[in-house]
Amino acid sequence: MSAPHASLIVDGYLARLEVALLGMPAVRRIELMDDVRSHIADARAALEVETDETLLIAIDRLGDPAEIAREAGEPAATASHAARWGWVELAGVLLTIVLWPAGAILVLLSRVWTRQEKITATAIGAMAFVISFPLFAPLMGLVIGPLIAGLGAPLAPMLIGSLGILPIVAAGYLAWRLRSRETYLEALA
Amino acid sequence: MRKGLLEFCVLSLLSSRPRYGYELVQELAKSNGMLTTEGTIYPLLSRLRRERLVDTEWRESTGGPPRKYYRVTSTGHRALASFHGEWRSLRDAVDGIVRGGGTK
Repeated sequence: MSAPHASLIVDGYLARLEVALLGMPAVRRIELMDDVRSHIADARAALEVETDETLLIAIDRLGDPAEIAREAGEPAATASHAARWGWVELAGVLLTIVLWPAGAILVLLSRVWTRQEKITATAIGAMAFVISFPLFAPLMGLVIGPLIAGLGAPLAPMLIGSLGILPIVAAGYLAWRLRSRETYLEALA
Repeated sequence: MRKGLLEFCVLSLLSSRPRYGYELVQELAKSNGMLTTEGTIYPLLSRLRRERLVDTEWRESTGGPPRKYYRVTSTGHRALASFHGEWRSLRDAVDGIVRGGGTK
């Protein structure tokens, strides 16, 4: 037996939720709305007697739509922390040193590093790759050559010599960030 | 209830057997303070699924529409096992300190 104002109560809540979720991608919004709809159906089926009052209590327990929307917008607490590194990450780190483009692709595909970390590592690796890539050599020679030459000894050779370290820096950074993935409890602190 | 902990409680409950959303909420409600707003469990489950820690399957229900069941994936089981190890050592450390402080 439905409560006298069941549809008003249920539809009212769903409408508020839908408004709160408007910023979300449509696919996820529709999924979430369906989830909440089935929850309400189950909750109603579990009521011994459905009155406006008992239905309102059941709906209230779902919580403020704004709070559900906030949770939906939260980044995963476990996402980067729970994801353990595996072959992709290992190959990504190694290839960053010996075959940067392949390494960079693996790093970008990995689900373990955060976006920030991926951007940092890719930027460091790309810098070394672009500077040392034969196709760019004339351009680099024209632009950077005079700048470096202007530095004179001993800075110029030191700078050129240290370019080779950049891929190792990028790989080292990635490996270091992987280490910090080791504990889940960090995410809870 | 800290959010990260709730995620692992959900994984733990699902690891014994697959459950559907409302069923899971009922289980969590038995533990006081575990879930203050029931609706937030659904974005959480959706996130766990996107992280491939759980997956879903539709099952027929008696006298109603099919239900979406959540079950833990092999990745989810691994995450849970690691969490258990860390949780035990943290718990022991806290217990040790609290007990030590209490006897003084």
